[in-house]
Amino acid sequence: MPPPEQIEQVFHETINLPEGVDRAEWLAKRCAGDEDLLREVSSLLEANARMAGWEANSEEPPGLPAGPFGVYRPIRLLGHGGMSTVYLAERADGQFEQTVALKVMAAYLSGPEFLRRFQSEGRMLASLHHPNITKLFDGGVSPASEPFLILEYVDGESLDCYCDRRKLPIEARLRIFVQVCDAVDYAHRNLILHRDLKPGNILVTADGTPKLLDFGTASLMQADAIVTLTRARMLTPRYASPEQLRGATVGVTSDVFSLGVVLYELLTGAWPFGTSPSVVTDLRRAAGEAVGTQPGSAITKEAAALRSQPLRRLRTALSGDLSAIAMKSLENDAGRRYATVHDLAEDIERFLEGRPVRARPQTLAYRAGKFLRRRWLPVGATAVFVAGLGAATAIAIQQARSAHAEAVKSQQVNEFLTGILSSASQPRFDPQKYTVAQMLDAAEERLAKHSGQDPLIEALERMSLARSYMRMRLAGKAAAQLDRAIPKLEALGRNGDLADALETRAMVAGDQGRLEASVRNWERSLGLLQQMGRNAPSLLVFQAKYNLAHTLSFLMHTQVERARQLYLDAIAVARNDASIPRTQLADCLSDYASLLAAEGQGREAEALQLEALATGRKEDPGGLWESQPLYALAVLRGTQGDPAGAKAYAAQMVEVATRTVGPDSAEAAQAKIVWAIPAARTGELDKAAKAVEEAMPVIQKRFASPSLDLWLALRNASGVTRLAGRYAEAERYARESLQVAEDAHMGRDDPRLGNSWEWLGEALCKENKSAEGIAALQQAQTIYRNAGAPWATTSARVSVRIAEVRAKTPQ
Amino acid sequence: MPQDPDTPGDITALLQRWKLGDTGALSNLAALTYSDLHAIAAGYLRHESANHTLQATGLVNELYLRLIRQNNLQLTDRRHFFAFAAMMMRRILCDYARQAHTVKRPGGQSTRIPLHPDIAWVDAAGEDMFALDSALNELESSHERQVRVVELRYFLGCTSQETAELMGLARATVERDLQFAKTWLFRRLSPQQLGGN
Repeated sequence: MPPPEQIEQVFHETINLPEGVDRAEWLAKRCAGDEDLLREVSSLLEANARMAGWEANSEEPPGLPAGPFGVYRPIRLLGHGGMSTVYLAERADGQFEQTVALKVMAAYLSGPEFLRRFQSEGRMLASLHHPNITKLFDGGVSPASEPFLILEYVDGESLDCYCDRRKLPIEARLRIFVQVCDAVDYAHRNLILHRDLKPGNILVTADGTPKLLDFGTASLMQADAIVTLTRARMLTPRYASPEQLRGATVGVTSDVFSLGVVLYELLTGAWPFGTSPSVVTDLRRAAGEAVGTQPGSAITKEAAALRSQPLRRLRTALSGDLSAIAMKSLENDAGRRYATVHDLAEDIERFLEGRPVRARPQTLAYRAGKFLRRRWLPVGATAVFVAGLGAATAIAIQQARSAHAEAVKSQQVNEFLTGILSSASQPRFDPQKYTVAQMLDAAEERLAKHSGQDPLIEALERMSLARSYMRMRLAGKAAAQLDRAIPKLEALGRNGDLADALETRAMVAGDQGRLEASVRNWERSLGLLQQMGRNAPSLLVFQAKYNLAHTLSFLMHTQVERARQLYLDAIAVARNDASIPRTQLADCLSDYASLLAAEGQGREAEALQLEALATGRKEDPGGLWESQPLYALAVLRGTQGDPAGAKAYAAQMVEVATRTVGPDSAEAAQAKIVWAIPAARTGELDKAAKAVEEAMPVIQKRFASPSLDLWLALRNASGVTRLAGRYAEAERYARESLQVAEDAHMGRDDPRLGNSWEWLGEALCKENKSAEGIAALQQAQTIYRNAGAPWATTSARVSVRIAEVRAKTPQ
Repeated sequence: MPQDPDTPGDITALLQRWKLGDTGALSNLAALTYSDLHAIAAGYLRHESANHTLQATGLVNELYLRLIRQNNLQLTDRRHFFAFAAMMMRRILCDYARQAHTVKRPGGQSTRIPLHPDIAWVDAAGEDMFALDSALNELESSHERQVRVVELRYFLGCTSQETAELMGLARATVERDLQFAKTWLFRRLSPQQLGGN
């Protein structure tokens, strides 16, 4: 046999011969008597020709399935999807002239999981009624056991083709895109995620109406988002979010990302992450390493021509606000994207109207939003945090608050809706068929139509609408309503209502993580209320003082004194007015107590926490709100060297969470981890370790990484396993908590980061990895030292630990 | 020092050793990751769409992320990682096809899933796959580089450009290698052996 290199060489030479050259003749000459070479290359050339023939023949069109599919029969193939084939179909009984799209599940996707998903697509579509979403007419299973859906047939082109063929300029493209956003946002408000948004799934009809298709990969939020995603990846990598590529749990922001890619392509004609997706780019994106190219740099002359604009003009147009909007949608970190598709659409509308857009580079508000919006630790947590018990769980606390608030809220929403329904002019408005969000939108539309009415009534209605949106966590919509109500109330001089509106605006801003805006609104409300003197509604005064104190203590260290005074004022107001809910007073007392604890006034803090418990129990005994004071008490007991006392309070937390939200809830899991530390300290090592073992999977499933919830649980798990003598586990948990802290981009001097290092160091020392342990402790010490005065004792304590470990370590 | 085989840190260490030329490390590496990857691959093939590139992505993602989660992992040498991943993909897909072949699927009729659009005549879920595997072994004895190119391109789903970068070759060379390997494989896997059509 001739050498392989020679065979290759001659093969390539022959195959690349120009047309018209007689290959056989040329080859015979080239091989010049080397029979083996000639035979081998000839045989390869012959195989190559056969292969080309095979490829040409293999594109046979598949036949139409027999059916029947209900009363429909397929006419021709429209296309293949990931898990189904779509045909144009018509009624077989000739009763109506109606063409529809028939979607048949692919034969190889047998199995209950796919059937379930296919059926759920039908169910979800059936629940969506939107002009930009394809309608579902029917569904069933054919005699050959093929599940099928009958859908509205959309005679249109895919979004990108439609825009390019008409050479639509940027503005026209954006107007279509906004409609697509509306449809997606509508699905989200019905708790449905699309998960496979791409131009091919968006058809545009001849009159320019976009229609969203293919909910085959959609999922109900929460219900099965977690279950289906890890293994079952039905995605189009080009439009998939990094978290989708990772197989992680996805939320609304994943659809925001996909829409971001669609938008980017509409604007530039290019893909933001390079030439085309491949395994390599996908991996980089999955790992969060890829950063999109700025749209202005991605544009080409051809793309400009397709957008009916000269290259330079287009480049300028794409480098300002539009670039910010696209890039904000394409952030690797889901938390930095637009929180909802509605927000994205709103920003584009702002751009189209020439108003400033919200997409902007990272600011304090972002960090604050990320870490503080959930009020994850009470102010005083600094001391609490370091202290013996090892911190905890403001999360439970926050959830306690929101769960309690939720109950009140849903009642209020119902009242509000009853209001709409009774005033609605449509007698057949069936509340069963509409979601709350839809009803709110209906109310908003109604308001817009009657905006000529009495400005006071309009303002009050907008406020109540805003509150309802806020309860639905639609902060952007709530803010929009308030921003229209506030000037009207100002003009009318209605100070009481204005203060109310400003407070709601402050809460919305707080929800959006815009703490400075929140403070401004609280201050304004407080100013107005002070002008009103005795006539000021005491609930508003209480709320303004309490929430301002709370927000200030997060925002600026220098304002602690002001926060203290505001807390005391708020408490005084609520003590004198029994109409203010006692659970709110309890929250306020507990917050203030945490501030005292942070300043080392443990005794006073403990008395106040007990008062908080007693106060709230008058209104809602055993409610989830108890988690906050109970937690604080557990920590205080732990700090005072009383693990048995700490354990008793923590046990109550577990009990409260188990009873109010169930034994398998994340809240119960968090409470169990809080319990585990004092339990370990009092010798219940196995039970404590078991509690962590049981709780961690629940927490890891519920809380995405990075989140503070996860961080806390991991760090505490490290503490418990260390106490239980499971040092390797303790090290692993500590490392994971460190990773979460790093992924969350905590500041370099964030004591929490220091805390993770400290506990890692402790675990390593226990494992006799002294050198590594000391290194970790030193990291912790540096962070504590830089974190300011409150951390000085902690820093000193770590210094002592380092010295101890050094002394024990043989040189 | 004996090590806990479940410690993923071992994967990193073995990848390093393989990078430094220790060929024995490769088989240890394979043993460490094989069962997990196999389970994942089986899941993809059983449940997922016909888009094979996509499955490879998902599969390799899991491996990559598993590696990257380890602390000291510096994927400085991507070439080794991808070469390794490609080999694993080949091995897993072939084993899976072999298994699927012996265990008859419920419902009887099977549907062709092309391994890659470029070599649509290979059915990723059928007998073709183990024929392809042994053909590749044969080709490897004389044309090793071409086999690596085939693995990266068809089993892992890299683009030609990426394959070129990962192999340190010119893109034109990759294209030529593919054309040669495809032709050679097509001849070796005579049409009678190819399922379907």
